[in-house]
Amino acid sequence: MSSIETKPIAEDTAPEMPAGGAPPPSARAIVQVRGLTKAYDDALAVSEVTFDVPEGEVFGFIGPNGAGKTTTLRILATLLDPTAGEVKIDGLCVENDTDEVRRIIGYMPDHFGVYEGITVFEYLEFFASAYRIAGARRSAMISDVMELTDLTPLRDRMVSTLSKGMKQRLCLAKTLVHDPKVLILDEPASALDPRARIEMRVLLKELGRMGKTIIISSHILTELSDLCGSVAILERGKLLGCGNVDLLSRKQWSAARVRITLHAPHPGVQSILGDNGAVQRVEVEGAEVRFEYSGVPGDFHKVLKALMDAEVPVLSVEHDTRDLENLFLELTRGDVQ
Amino acid sequence: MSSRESSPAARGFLARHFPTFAEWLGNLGWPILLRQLRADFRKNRFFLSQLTCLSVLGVTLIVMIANKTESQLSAAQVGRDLFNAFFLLMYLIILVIFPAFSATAFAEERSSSTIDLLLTTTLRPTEIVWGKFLASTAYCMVYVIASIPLLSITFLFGGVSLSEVLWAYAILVGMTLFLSMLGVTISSCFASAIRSTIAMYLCVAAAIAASYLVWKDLPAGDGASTTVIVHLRSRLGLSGGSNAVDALTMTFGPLAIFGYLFLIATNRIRPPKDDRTSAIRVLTFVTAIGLLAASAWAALPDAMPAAGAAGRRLSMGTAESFRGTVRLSALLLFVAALVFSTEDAAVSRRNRTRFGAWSGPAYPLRIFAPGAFWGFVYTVVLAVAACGGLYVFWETALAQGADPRLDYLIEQSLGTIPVYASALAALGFLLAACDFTPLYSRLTLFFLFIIALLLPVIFMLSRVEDKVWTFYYLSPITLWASLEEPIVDDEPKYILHGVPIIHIAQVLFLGLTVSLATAAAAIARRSGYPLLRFGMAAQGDIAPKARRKGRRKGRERQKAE
Repeated sequence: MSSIETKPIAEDTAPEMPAGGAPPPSARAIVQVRGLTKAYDDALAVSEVTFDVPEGEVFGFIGPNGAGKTTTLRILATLLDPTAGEVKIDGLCVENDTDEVRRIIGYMPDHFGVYEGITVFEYLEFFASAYRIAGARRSAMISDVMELTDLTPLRDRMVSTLSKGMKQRLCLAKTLVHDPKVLILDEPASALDPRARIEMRVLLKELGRMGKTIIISSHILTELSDLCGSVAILERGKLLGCGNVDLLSRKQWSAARVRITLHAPHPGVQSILGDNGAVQRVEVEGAEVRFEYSGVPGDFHKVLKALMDAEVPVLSVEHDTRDLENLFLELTRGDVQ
Repeated sequence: MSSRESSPAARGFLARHFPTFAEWLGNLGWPILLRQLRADFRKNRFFLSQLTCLSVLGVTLIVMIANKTESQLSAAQVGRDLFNAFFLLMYLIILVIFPAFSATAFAEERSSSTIDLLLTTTLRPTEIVWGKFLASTAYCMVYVIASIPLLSITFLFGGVSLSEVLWAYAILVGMTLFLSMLGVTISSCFASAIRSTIAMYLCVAAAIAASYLVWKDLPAGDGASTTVIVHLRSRLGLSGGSNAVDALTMTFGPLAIFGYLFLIATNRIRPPKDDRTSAIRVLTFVTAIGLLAASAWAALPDAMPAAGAAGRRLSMGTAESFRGTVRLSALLLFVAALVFSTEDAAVSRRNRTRFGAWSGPAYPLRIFAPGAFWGFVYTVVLAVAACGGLYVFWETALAQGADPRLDYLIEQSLGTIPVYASALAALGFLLAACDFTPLYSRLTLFFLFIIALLLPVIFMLSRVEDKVWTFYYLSPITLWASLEEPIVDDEPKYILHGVPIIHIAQVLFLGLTVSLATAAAAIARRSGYPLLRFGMAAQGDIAPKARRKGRRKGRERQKAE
């Protein structure tokens, strides 16, 4: 059998997650990706990626440049066909049911232009009619979307006169105009100033509260950690981890990483720490001591007490936090394909 | 909530009786047309270019009127001269200005990164291309319509009939439609607006050069006795007294070209695994059979008087005309073999599902399905249909009273051409099954074709005359030219061991067809490409070469890690 052969999705079997945890059993997976592979002439952009996105979840897609994020999102958006593997959105195959899939997804690419020479309303009207929304319903939906994205005051402004942030909001409004179930947003906050970025984040949170399933890719991990319930981390086309951020962190770090800074180097610090069974991998570099602590958090004071008893001049104690940024750095090596 | 709703056009009579057609009509590119018109008509460029064109037309006509009224020409002659000048100016405006509007239709979308937004809507590729075409046409038609008041000046002098005016506008509108479609197609092939505009103007320059054939001996100048429209109609075979077959070809030909341009543009924006073949195959089938029928029919008026005459001898003109049809059939079949049998052997799941549903009485329609195997079958069916039809036509309408040598020549040609085309198609299928890309397969077949063409020349140079003629029969492209004197003393002229060489060639190429097609089918089956069965279980989304490449890359990556 070929290593990248198509694997049909079995409805009754739980997906095999290469890393990280499976989605909670209560949430239905609205997006199912199995063994997704995309080969270009001279490169394998995505290789056997498998993950699920639960319905109503904000799902982050992170990875360094060239990791295959945009390729994966473009396949989800029906703009590219996979070389192998299967992708289903709401039970519809993106390859075979392209028309139906396009009705339930809204796609916002990382680089996009806008049609100039028309007004904001005409722009949204064009996309509404392109999604075959007719008559009074079209006007109502455009009004709702403009209200949601705060574009109502700009209704009659020419698109060419809008700022970058406004254009980004307009593109998001266009993505929402046919009321899609799944939003696929590729770097929606890229090239925005801080204020526009915050506004975009608020808007996305609001959409998440409305029950939309959002698949979002971004380089700004602090924003994603604020937004996303689950993430998928890609590097060089491979999925390194997928699932809930906390679960992933716990799986990645069975022990807490601790850094102690001393006032001056101390010769006995390594042996003092080594005597504690819960302390592993002690590294001493001058006045800086790093180690992993796998014991009960409530007993950590015993490690400090041993250091104090030996009169080790401790200046500060720091715990590495289990946030998305550290998880990303831990899982990836910064390689670009 | 569902975003799908019926369009306004789909709520009336059509929606009740022909819902699919009503929906198709209701969404036929109107959103794109409306958006493009809104954006284009607000630009200053539109107003300025419109003003410039009308000013040039108006000033030219006024200057001409001032000069002509002082000359000795009659009013009718002045009217004709003005009409000719107006028509030629509009002809130039259309050729020089209109390409700039249509050549950026898709290239602009690509360069401004709006194409992805458009392609993820529920608009189908046909609707998008049609919308772009309509938008481009509407923009250009404003120029044509705005010129009508200026043309009315020529009516003050007479000399031009209403039908000539209508014909003039029919030709101008036809040119506008054609240039719009050509521009949209060319723009779909380029990522940058500048490149597509340059390509479009190169095409227009070629068209201007070709139009010299139509415009030479033009009745323009002082006191012309006819208008350019009369001249054009007679040149293009559209005048009342010309052959109906010519007129049919002149109308059907541009329609077929328009269809090909539309399908090429549509294919350029389709997802890669969508069906890019079926419509082109259907159009080619209809065009080939239509062209051959028209060409064969053209021989009839010449044959009929001879048929009624004593001896019922076929005139030389008819014989040559029909041989031309036979040559045309060979050319069409070789092109079909070159294009369709060399398609990718893999058929996407989407297309397998679509054509897999065509069973029972609809099963024969699978010849229009994508893929090299069905491309081979399609070529064989087209060859049999075209040459079989010509044979029946020859036997029933023309062969009576024909020279036996000519009869033998036509019959053998019509028996050999399908076998040659099938052998070529089988080779194309074999190359595709061996994972040659369509481009490489086509180049390989083309060069083999050229080598076969050169075979007689090679033997001619070696001065072995018998072999020259022998290989003439084996050279597909010279087949019809070589059968000049096929019979001497009621016996075939070229015989090898008592068997006419043409029959040896037929058996040889039939054998080649069968063996190549069998080998290709075996290789295709081993590689997992679907042949007769289009079930979902069949593999074929990923070519063996890509699979091997994937495995190799995986190994390289593992090593690197």
